Amino acid sequence: MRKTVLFLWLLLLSAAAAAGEEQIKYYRVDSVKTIKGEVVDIKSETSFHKSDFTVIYLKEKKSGEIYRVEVSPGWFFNMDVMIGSKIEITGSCTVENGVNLVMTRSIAFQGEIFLFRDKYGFPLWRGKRGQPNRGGQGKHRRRGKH
Amino acid sequence: MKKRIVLFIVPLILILIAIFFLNRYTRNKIRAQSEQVTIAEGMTIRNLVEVSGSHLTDEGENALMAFLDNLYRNELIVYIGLFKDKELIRLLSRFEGYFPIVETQKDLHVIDSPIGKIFHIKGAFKDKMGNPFYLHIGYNYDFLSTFEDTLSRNFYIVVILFSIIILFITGLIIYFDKKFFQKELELEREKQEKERFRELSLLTSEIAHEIKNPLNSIYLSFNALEKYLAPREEALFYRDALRGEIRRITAIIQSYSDLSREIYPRIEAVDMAKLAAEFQWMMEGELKKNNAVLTVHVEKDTIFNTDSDLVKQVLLNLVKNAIEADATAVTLTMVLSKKRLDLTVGDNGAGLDEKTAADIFKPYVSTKTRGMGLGLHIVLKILKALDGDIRLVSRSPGNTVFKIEIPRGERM
Amino acid sequence: MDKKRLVLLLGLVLMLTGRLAAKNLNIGIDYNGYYSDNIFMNASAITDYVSQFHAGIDLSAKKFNFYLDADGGIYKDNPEFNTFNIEPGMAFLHHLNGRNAVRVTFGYAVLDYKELFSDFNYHGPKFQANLKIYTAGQFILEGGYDFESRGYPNYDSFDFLNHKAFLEISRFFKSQTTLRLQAGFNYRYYPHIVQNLDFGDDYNYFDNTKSQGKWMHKGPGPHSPSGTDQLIYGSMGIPNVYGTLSIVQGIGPRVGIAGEAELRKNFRGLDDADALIKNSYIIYPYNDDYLWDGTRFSLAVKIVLFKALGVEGAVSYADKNYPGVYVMDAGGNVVEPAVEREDSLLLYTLKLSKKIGKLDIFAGIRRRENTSTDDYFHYDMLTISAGIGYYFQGLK
Repeated sequence: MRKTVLFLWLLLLSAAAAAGEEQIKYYRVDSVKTIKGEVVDIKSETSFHKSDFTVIYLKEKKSGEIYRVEVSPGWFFNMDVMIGSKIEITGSCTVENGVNLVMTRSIAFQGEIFLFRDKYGFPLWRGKRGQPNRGGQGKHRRRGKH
Repeated sequence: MKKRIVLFIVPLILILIAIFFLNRYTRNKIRAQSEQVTIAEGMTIRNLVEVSGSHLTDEGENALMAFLDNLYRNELIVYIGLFKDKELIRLLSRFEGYFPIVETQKDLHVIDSPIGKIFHIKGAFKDKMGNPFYLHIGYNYDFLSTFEDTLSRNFYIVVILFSIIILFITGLIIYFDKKFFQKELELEREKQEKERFRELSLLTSEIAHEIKNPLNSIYLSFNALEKYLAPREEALFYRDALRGEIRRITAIIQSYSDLSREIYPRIEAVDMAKLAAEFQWMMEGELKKNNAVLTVHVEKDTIFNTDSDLVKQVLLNLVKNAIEADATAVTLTMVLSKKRLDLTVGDNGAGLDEKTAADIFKPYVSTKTRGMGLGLHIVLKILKALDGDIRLVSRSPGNTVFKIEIPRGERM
Repeated sequence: MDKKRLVLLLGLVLMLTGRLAAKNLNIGIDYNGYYSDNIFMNASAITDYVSQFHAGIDLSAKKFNFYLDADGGIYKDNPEFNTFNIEPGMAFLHHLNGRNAVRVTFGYAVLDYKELFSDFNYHGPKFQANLKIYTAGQFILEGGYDFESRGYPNYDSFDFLNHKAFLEISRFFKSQTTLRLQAGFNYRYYPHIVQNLDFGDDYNYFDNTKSQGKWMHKGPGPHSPSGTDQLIYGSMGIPNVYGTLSIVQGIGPRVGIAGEAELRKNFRGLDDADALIKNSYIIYPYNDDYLWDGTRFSLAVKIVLFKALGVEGAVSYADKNYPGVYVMDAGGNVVEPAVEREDSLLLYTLKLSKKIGKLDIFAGIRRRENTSTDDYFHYDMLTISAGIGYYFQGLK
């Protein structure tokens, strides 16, 4: 029963998301919040006219509310977050069409933190296209002799 | 040599530094000015939109949107957002969801972003019905840096080209300079040597002059003493040797007192064996001091017409050189033929390198740290005066050999 | 040297094209300084302060990314070890469906030491291919292949080819546990390595113009290799296999604990590879993975504090055997009775990292305690490091 409810919820959200695509969304600097929760689903959806935008559906620990968390284009998302992962998301939170929408600034998981937007919401994946595990994301290359 | 390079490179570097700072200053100026321009432009657009906004809304919101789209075509604009009262009705942003409205009273503020500074301008207008519209425009000021970049790229290209040309010219100059410089150095050196030699000649002339007097007394005293000598072979030998030495000193002094003057050999019948013996006696002290041994090969009763003093001088110079080259064994061989005397002087000293060997008979060439290097030059001169010649036939270490040829002289 | 020029030229061309294309170009610069009380990681315990500079530019075009990396290392008290490294390359990333992706990278690396250690200069191509798949059932599968070829122009005995392949399977559990199993195969091939040297009296460096490069021999000299010097060139391949099991446990999103156990096995002893040992021990003490057999355990804790400040602490213990490598005395002669080298390495690390605006900052402390049957490798080492990185983004 619970599962069905969840499933329907997600369906609704996705639908809303599809509709929400027409909504204007932007990173609101003055409504940045941190949400702790569990990943309910991870999908590739269209956002900002990009077809493979990673979207995480997060169930907040405290309230049990579902948040639709837009993270980044799929190729920039290198985290091994899976369904059931407990993560902490920091980002701009709004409510669009009754859907809690978060535009991600950072995600913390298993003791590591990954950044996706800067303080003002500037997307950090811009300009780092096609860079596998080089630079970016706060990971630095191994030091020491070659 | 180094000085010249430094003199050339230093101003070049100074010029480059000056250009660099000038460029820096220019760029900063341009930057400041562009900033002004950006602000002005932003303000203008804002004012423009504010004014036209209200008119455009009269025509309907679509007209306003079309206008904004048109505006957005300007590459400098990063985002445009339009609020109708509290609702965002239009957002155009080049970066996904990037629309940094910061709660501030100011109409204009600057935000730092990964692409540079962004000027955020806020404007307001009303439509016919009095609905407030708020317009936010974000300008990327640093887009203007393309202009700066072109400037700096050109600057660097110019600087690099300039540097290459200068370095190339410097290289050429150094190359040619080296050639001329070396020659100059050589000439300078020769001149200095000649100067030194001339001074020394004057000096030796002086000394010679001074020595001549006491030498005369010695000679006279010697003559006086002769009478008292016991008629023993040994005594006679020493007497002759002494006489020979005095005469030799005189001869040397003669030659030194005026080196430019010709050497006039006094040809007489000389017993070469006796000459050799006398020579050996002469060198005894010197040889002992340097742990060297002189071996002489000459046949007895070899009479040859020549100037014994000059010959002794030649031999003296050669053997002295050998000793100074750390020779421990010197051999002197005299071979007589009807028309010629062949003297061979060999030693086991350090030898000579190719360069020295080529010039060895020239004056001022010497492997010794002291001395003028006149020895062999005088030897050659003496031999030339005797119509003879000297050759260096071997210069390897341990085996230095000089060969001297003296033709039979015409008795005076 | 010509190759290096070519590489630099290529890099320059890339850079200029980048400039002209404008705005799709990124530049990153890094500075990393560290103080170590034992930079060579052996009993000599030589301290030094090292500055490492890195500059990288890359240009993106569709799925391709062209990059040029340059690195320089400067040793304050031991400048003979200063290095300069340059690597141009191209990376390709293609997304299959969803999160699945394949990545391919080509590069060409050149490394230069100054005069004294010019024997360790190398250049050569690199290739990497990687495939990562996220399956429906919480599994992540990853496979990769790595190829590297290095040519040492001044000491061809060091030349090698390296093939690496690995497979990894991870599974995430609701208990916030990620279980990871990785198996890998490493094959290092030395095409012409100096295998055997007869040890004589003095150690001499001899330039044998007949062979392709200089080689060192021991024995009275310098003169021809006949007599007591025995020099044998041969080829040598070292297969090495490893398996790693790791568990990462998240305690809330901000804390993670990772435990790892690794098992390594070499299928060929290193008995007769003198040059190999010199190369690896002296210059690449961090990179001796294929040399040893044994086990390694590690435990790490990662915490995200306050505002995105990353803290990482780790401890690791490794039991390393070096089959075919014997304990040597100061003269390089095997000590009788021959004992194989065996090490136990304890490693402690503490690292802090934070991104502030455009800057990436980190600071760390590392301590190594190595006990070995070979006194030369019995050492302690403390390193304190800090670094800062800055990335400019040019975008369209």
